[in-house]
Amino acid sequence: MFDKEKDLKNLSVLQKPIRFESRPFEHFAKQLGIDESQTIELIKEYISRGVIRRFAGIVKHDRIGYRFNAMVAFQVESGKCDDAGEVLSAFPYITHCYRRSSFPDWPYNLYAMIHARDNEELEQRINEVKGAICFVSVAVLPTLQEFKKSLFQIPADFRVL
Amino acid sequence: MDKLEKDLLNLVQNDFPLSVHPFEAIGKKLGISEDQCIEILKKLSDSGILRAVRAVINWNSIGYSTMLIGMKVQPNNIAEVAEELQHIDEITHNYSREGELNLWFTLIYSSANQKDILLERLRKMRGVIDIKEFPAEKVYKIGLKLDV
Repeated sequence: MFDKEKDLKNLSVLQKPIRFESRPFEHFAKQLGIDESQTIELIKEYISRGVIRRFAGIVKHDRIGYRFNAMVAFQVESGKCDDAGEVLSAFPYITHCYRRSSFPDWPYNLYAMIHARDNEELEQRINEVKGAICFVSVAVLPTLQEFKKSLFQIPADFRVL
Repeated sequence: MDKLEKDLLNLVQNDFPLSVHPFEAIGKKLGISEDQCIEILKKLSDSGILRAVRAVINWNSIGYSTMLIGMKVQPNNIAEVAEELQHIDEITHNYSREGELNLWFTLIYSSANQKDILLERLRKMRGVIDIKEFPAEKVYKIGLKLDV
């Protein structure tokens, strides 16, 4: 079994953005009380365990020109949802795609985030996506305003779950 | 942004080297020095284009749960409600959208009880008409990267 308390302690350090300096992992290593190569091995171990999804640069979408986006919610027959989800995931401009629970007054069960550089492109892409899968109904929910986009931090007083 | 900056962004988004001198390794691929690489990344970070280079954690794998919440809020109360959500650490993303449910946010929590208490608090806020919980039943894609 993995030691959850240790994982949370490690991740509360490893979740921080690295500094732009010659040896960026040195800082983590000091905080963890291990050396740099052990730190790097630890990150790799978390990646192989699926605890760290990826270690990479996070670019602000709107700052590289993707200012227009929409969440598109489809109602898809449950037996066809996995196929549709796979088709949607193949579009490079779709960053997130999930099956979610639905409600009688909100029947949509397949969600995709679509990004584009202008409104016309967004319309085009929404139409392209609509043409690619089989669905019963759809709700297009364009983003109006981003109020918050933050990094969740493991609280300092975390308790083992 | 010039070509070099774009190439660099695409590289760090897709394949960040996990080694003692990662910026040297990246620089080599692009034919620039480690110092140049660091300098350009600092500049992209200062200007807000590059949010961070970091580990993206799969919270569900270490006992946390995540949830998408859709809210129906009176249009003239949206800013006020959004402002309140701003200060709640468990809420990481929050967007207003067109449609019946017009405020959407993601929640990270460690117990169902913690989530219920938070949602109960939000339910009582002025202008909040409906709150729907949309747990992910299956993840098909979490990409997070778009070509620069």
